[in-house]
Amino acid sequence: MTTPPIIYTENKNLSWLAQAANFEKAVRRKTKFMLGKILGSVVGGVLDKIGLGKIAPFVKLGLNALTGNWLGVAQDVFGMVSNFKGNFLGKAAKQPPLGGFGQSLMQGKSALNENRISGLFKGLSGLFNAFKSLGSGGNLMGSIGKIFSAFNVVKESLQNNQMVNNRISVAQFTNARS
Amino acid sequence: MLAEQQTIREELGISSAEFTEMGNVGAMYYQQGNLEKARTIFEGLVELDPQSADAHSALGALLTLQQQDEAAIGHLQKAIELKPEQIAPYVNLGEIFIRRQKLEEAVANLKKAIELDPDEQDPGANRARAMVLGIYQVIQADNKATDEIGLESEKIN
Repeated sequence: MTTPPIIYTENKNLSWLAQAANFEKAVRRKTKFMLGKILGSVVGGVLDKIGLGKIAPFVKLGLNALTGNWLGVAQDVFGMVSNFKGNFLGKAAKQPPLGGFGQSLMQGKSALNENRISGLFKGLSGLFNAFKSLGSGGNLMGSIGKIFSAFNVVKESLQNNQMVNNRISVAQFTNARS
Repeated sequence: MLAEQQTIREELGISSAEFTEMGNVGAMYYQQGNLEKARTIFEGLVELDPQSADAHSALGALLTLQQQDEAAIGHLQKAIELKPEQIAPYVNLGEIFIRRQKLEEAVANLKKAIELDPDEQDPGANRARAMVLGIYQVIQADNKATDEIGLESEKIN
């Protein structure tokens, strides 16, 4: 549904919150049906539903602290809400989203294995020794230290996966024989 | 020795698929709540390839969850600089700015995340929508005394 343009005239005699309420009413007149439907389904603390109940007081403090472009903020908020389409709450991330990692589960053959990680450790050791002999600064050594630690955790995870896979194979073999 | 601008990732010949798989291991730990291991991996990936938007975004998200806002902002802004079309960093900056009571910046970032996902499919952008709805509700609660018109939803329910 496309939202028609919202006509609102600023009244400087009112507080910004009162003006925001008036602006909201202007939005509602245009979109009351859909807005009612969305709000009707989320009564009871929308921020709680995404694990952010604790930040609600900060929203209130932030609103009270707004001195500049309050109308722009109100317009943005009401405009966005009036354009929401459906029940997105059920599909909302419950913690801060990572971005590219973890979006697609590993499918097919894994790019990493223990041999490859061992090779990477050797390569990193070579780099470390080269930098050390050249007397490179602490930043680079710190970087290599963090990479070593990351490789260790990845290696540990791969070993755990291998152990699980071995157990599954043993169980399947045992079941097949019995 | 590393050539100028060459990353340790390139020096070690780590492919894009391998790098992403390491990131996915970090994501698995993050989703399991093992933040220490997830952080170790994401920090290592940022050092391996400081030009990876995914690595900066993931570390920024984890730091957002741990409320280490200053450090998180740096990584999230770097992620946006490297890959402006990625949704997650805007969502997390929105959360941080709400926590810091900077509503204008928060709303601007949440708006950007929502605009990048017009079909309401991305879980991160939907989290941004939920935050906007939360702000809306707080404004409404503040205005209840002056509000004469009942919501259609209140009439329906």
